[in-house]
Amino acid sequence: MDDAQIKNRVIRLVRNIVPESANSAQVFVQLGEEGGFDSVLALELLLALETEFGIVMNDDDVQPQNLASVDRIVSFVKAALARPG
Amino acid sequence: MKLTLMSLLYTTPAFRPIARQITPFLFFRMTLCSVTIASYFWPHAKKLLRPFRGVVGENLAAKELRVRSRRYLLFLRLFKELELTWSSWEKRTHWPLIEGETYLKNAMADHKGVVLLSCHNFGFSKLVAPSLSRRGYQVLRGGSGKKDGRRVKRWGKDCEIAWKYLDQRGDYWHRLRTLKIIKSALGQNHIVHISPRAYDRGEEEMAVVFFKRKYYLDSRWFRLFQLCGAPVLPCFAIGNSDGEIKIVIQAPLLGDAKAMAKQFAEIQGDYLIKYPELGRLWKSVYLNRSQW
Repeated sequence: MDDAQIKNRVIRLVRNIVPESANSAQVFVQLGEEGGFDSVLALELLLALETEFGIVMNDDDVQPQNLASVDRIVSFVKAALARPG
Repeated sequence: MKLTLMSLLYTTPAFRPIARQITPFLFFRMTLCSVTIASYFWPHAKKLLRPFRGVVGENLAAKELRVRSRRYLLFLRLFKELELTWSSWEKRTHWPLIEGETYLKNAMADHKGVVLLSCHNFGFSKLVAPSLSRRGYQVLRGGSGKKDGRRVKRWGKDCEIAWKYLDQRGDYWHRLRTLKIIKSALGQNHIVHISPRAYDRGEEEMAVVFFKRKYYLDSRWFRLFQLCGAPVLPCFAIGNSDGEIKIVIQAPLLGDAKAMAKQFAEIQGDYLIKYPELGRLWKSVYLNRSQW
């Protein structure tokens, strides 16, 4: 799976959770209260990511460097898919 | 903790064998005696009672207020000192009494975990997790204290293993990790016990009404419970003047997040009005009385 495919799927998940983002031509997700994602919506996104990509997210993975934006999520998913086991 | 007769009895190694012989009934009678004396002669008691009387006093007759005031002092004392007695009463698995355990067992049969929801700063909520763990349940307690600090250790090593203390403080990412831990605990059919904070502002549907005053629940908790799909049971640890403490577990809240919040706000408001002496919020309410 290449970066573009992962990104499209992530954007679709984000739009499912925060439908207001569906109107914007490009989704600039900034996870955090200021980005419109309160902690419960963010959890919903984490669970959706786990289901969509079949990855397991550890507590230590919940860090801004992994999840603060769409691009970071894409990089994280790519790394998680490459993990052994 | 301030040095009191009870703390001296329970923390001094030489006195511990005596302390172990004190039954819950005797402990409460002794505490009640000392509180009654203190209410007459201890100058600080008046200071402690001022916010309580200021808020609750308008709604009660003078005689009733005197009784409630004494119970309020008793509650404040017990709230601090019960932790000391806990390890001495480890064989008393029937104490405190749990009312409505059937609701808990029925809810756990669905294997979706159970959320026990208490009122913040009310009653003996801190007894809930250790009491349930003594009865063999796996409990995760949410709160804003140190995760592995002294507060947890006081409850004994066995209790510490059977239940965990979850620190809810911190930044956005810490909160997110906390929610994830709650979700996975519920996935393992554990009990999660939370006393959600209330705020001065919020949505009207989330308002808890008590003594001409309102505060508001945080809707995010209820959205989380809906997302997790776990049954949510109101749970209040209350006590009376005879020192009987019981944990009351009620039937599950029904409906979506907003409906659950509305039901819980009503239940919480009823408890605050019925048992004002078990509240620890009167000081902040009293200090903000200009906003009433």
